[in-house]
This record gives sequence, C-alpha cells and structure tokens, in this order.
Amino acid sequence: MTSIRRYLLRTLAIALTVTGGMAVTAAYLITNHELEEILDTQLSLHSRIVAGQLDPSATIDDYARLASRMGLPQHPAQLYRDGIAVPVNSSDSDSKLYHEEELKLVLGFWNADGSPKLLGSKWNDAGPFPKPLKEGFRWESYNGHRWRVFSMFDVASDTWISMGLRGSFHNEVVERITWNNLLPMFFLLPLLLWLMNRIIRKGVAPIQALSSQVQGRSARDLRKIDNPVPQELNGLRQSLNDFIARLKETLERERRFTADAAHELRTPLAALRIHLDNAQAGDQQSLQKAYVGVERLQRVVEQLLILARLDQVATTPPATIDLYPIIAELVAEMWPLAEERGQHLKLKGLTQLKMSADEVEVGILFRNLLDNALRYTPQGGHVEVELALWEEAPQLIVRDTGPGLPEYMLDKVTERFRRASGQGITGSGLGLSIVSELVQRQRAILTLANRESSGLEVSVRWTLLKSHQTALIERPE
Amino acid sequence: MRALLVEDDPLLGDGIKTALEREGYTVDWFMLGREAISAIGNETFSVLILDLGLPDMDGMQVLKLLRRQSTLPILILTARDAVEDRIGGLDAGADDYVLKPFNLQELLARLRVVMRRSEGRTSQILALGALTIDEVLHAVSWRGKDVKLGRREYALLLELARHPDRVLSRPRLENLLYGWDGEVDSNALEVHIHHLRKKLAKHLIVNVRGIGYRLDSTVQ
Repeated sequence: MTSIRRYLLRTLAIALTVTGGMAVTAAYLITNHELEEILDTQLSLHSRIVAGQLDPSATIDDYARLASRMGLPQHPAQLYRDGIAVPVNSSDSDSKLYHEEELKLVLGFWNADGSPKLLGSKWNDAGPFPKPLKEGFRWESYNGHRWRVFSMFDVASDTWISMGLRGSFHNEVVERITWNNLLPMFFLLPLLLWLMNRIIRKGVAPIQALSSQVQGRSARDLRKIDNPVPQELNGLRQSLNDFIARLKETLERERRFTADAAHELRTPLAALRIHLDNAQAGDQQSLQKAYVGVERLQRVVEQLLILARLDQVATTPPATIDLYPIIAELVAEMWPLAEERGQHLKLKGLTQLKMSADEVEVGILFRNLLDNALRYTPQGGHVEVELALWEEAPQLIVRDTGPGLPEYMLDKVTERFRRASGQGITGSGLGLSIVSELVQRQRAILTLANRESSGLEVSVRWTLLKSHQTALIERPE
Repeated sequence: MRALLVEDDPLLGDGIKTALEREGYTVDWFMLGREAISAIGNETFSVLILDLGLPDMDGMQVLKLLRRQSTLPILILTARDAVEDRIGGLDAGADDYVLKPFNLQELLARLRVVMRRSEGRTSQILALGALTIDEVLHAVSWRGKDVKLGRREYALLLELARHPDRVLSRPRLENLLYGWDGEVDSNALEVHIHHLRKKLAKHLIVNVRGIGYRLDSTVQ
C-alpha cells in the first residue's frame, strides 16, 4: 500500500495535466475552425467589394494603374496582356509595405478564358498563380506555400476575381492563440501542484498524527488516544481505544492473576516454613500443621497446572455424550472419601442425560464442584448431586449443607484465588475459577446460590443440543 | 509485648502466633481487617503485623485507616514482590515489610527494630539506670548482675521499661499477660509484680493506686 499523500498527488497531477491538455487541444481546434470561417468570410466579402468596384469598361490602362497600386517592394504586381506579362511602371511611393502581413494577402484578376489579367504581388514569383476553375473557396499550393483562395466570376466585367491568403497566416494566428493559452498553464501547473501538495499534506496530517501516536507508544503505555481527529477517523480512533481498553483489561487480569498466584503460593510456603521453625523449636503439633501446608501447596500447584493447560489447549469440538455414567463414576470415586469424613453423598435425578460437550472437561468441572462441596460440608452433612432437564436443557446441580457463601462473595468467588475465608479449609482458591473457565468454554451457565436452610447450591446449565433444538422446532404443535 | 496479628490464612496465622508466643509476645490474632481496626481503637498494642491480602478489605486500605488513628509500629506481610507494591505499603504508613515466605528470625528482628524505632531507640539493649534488657537474648541484668525472669515477668518488665515513668493501666498490663483469650486471675498481675520487685528492687516498680503501675527510672 502506497502512501495516500503520494497517491493523491500523483493522480491529481495526472488528472490536472490531462484536462489541461484537453482544454488546450479543444481551444486549438475551435480557434482553427472559427478563424477559418472568419478569414473565409473576409476573403469573400473583400472579393465582392472588389467586384462591385470593377468598371465593366475598364481598359488595360486602368488595370495598369491598379497594378501600380498593388505592387509591393521586391514583389511588383504583374499585368498581362493575352497571357503575356507586360511591364508596369510603378513609382516608389506606390510600392510601399505598410505591414509585413500584406505579403500574405493577394488579389488577382483573370479573363473569362482563364488567362491572367492582373496578379498581385507574390502570385507572380513562380509564373502566374493557377487560374480559378470554379467559384468558391479552395486550397491551392503555389511556390511551396499553401494558399486559401476565394474566386468569383464577375459577369458584368467578364472577369474572374481571386483573393488569397497564405495558409501560414492562418496557422500563425491559431498557433499564437494556442500558445497564449498554453503558456500560463506552464506557470500555473507547478504552482497548482505545489498548492495541491500542501493541501494534501495538511489533509492527511491527522492520519499521520494518529499513527505516530500509536507508533511511538511503549508496550506499557495504555492510555486512551484522545487527540482530536477529523470525523472520518473517529471510527478508527474509537476502535483503537476499544482495543486498548480490552488489552488493558486483559493485562490487568493477568497482573492480578500473577499477584494472586504469588500470594497463594507464598502464603502456604510461609506457613510451612514457620511451622517447621516451630517444630524445630520443639512444638509438637507444628509438624502436623506443616504437612497441611505442603498439601495445600501441592493442591495450588496442581490446580494452577490445570488452569494453565486449559488456557493453552484449544477447545475440542464437542461430541454428544451421556452425562450420567461420567457423573456416576466420579461420585463413586469420591464416595469412600465422603464416608471417611462422615458425609452423606447422594446421586439422584435422571439416569440418562444426553448433551453436547467434551467428556474430559466435564469430568474436571464436576470433580471440582464435588470436591468443593465435600471440602466445605461439615461432618455428618449432606452432599447431593442431581441430573435434570431445565426447560429441555441439561442441568447438573450440586447441593451441600456447608456454610454457604456471604452474599458479597457469590459473584466474586469464580475469580481466581477467591476463597471464603476463616474456615480452616485447605482450598486453593482455584477450584471454582477452573469450573467457571470450563463452563465458559462449553457455553454453559454457572449459577451459585445459598440454600434456604444452609449450604450452597451450584448449578451448571448447558445450552440445548443442536439436533435436539431442531427437533423441537420441527415438532408439530 | 503485645502484638496484633491480622492474617486471614488460618495456617500461617497459627504458625506466626505460636512462634511469637514462644518469643514472649502476647498475640491477638484477627482474620478480618475491620476487626483489627476496632481492636486498635479499644486496646493498646506494641506492634501490628498486617497481611496485605485480606478477604474483606484491601490490606492497603486497612493500613491507611489504621495510620489515621494510631502511631502503632506496623510491619506488613506481603506476597507481592513488585517494587511498586512494597513502596506503596511503606508510603501508606507501614514501618517495614517482610516478604513471604520469610525467615522467622528475620521476622522477629524486624519486629524488634520497628518497635525500637517507634520508641526512638537504635540499640537492641534497653538501659535504664541500673537496669539493662537485651531484647534479642531476653537477658535482664540489675546492677551488673544477670537476673533470671519467667516469661510473663519478662514481658511485664519489658513493657514497663519501654515506657519508663509512664503509668500503664492495670487492664493494659493484664491483657499483655494473657491476650484476649486467657482468663486472668484477679491477683495474677500483683503476683508477677511482687516477683519482679523481689528479683530487682522494691521501689523500681511503683504502684499508682487505682490506676496501674509505673517504672521509676531514677531508682539505682
């Protein structure tokens, strides 16, 4: 992609030159045509006047006198008698050149039989000028020049009258007019190009300003772009700002995650260390507490690894699976643990629940939910897992009789490292965050609510199966 | 010495409490920031140990609120090692910080330093006339001779010596002995004072009737 400025400048310069050239050409053609008409009219008009002045009874002497008037220096008019040139006495005062252009306008007379009678200056230079053959305008070549000639026959005097104008006269006028049109263009064109360049430069300056503002930024600079831009760039600036905002949000989340991860890793480590110190100082229970610290640390590390893997792995295309055997298997797996803690673990609801999801992800999701429920439920408490359909959508519900969550935590608890405090539980603070991540990947909805009695109810609701959906639509009412 | 510990992590809090108590501190431990703030309004402490990552309030916020109402020396515990976080903590009014995970000896040393600094001392040895107390070794000597003191006697003497000639109220001294958890025998304080007088000098600790006790720094 070339620069807009250069593109505009180049195309406008070409357009300007072409239109300018066309204007001059048109002017040339029009001038040419109009001038020909004007000059032709003048030739015929002058010929008519001459014809009107011709005395039908004019003798050769009258023509001789006329010839002496028509002569020009070095180019005397020539009188003919019976086709033969007759010398004319012309005085110096008569053969005077008033204007250089006079050499280009010539008058001539012929007898009815075509023999020359009197030919003006220049028309005798290479023998007599060709005789007229018919009335009207014509082009004639004579002595290396082109002449525009008008001829008419005067019946009264029985004489052909021709008046001619050298073609170069016409051409010179046309050329001069054309040149006069062209000349200002040569001065104006560079001026116009210079002006255009300046205007374009000024016009694209906001684009450059905007791009340099983005270009010159360091990766850490995430301020909004707030310098004023023209209307056309408003959309771009808005999109850039939106992008910056999203980037900022992501970075902020990452930063918070790092800080939280540091906290969650270092706190059990600090606890572990201080309990070991205490154990060394002779405290009997401290060694046992140090083990709790190690266990917690291990769990945090494991959950972090799961999260990292989830962050990296692309979502696999969901297959149609039956939720029941997966859930039943995991419940069975956890049952001895619950038993050991004196908790009542129960699975109820549907025994077949087809849905579209990844089997492994569903497994991780459910294991975390169940793990949380068992972890927070006191001895003798109940944990209940239910499979159900909610408005035709598959739903997994885990209820416990633990302490539930404070209201302000309900919507925050899925953030990484959020953990209800003060319960002496060795959670990593990552379990629900993993669940939330997986739920998002599967386009399901996670709902957390405190139960009326006591405890928490967590439900995951998947969207309808695609085939199921179509089936629903096609079913006749 | 009575320390206020604000730590939401049960395991770490328990460990710190155990360790500090072994060192002769009386420890009041809270898990929430707002509890700590109300405790500071009502009680007297020698030092505050504050974890910046609390669940109910941002630790930094707690720090600012506390600083507004108390000149108590504050040591913060933090897992955030970014320079901005550390500077932020110090600027918000903390006297020092310890980065998790920490060495216990370092934590104790820093606690002694912030407390000393708040009293305008620079040495670990507290000397008042004929009485010297080495805070690191927990060693007390009177007129050049070493004196063996019990854990509670030492804590009581140290508290009195830290504020020489000032009257310390009975409840304050009693709380020091047991914290909030323990039941205090009505005459336990008198018993400990009696022992101290016997081991040191009779008139070193003066009873201010109806209010409490003070250490007379002019007694030789």
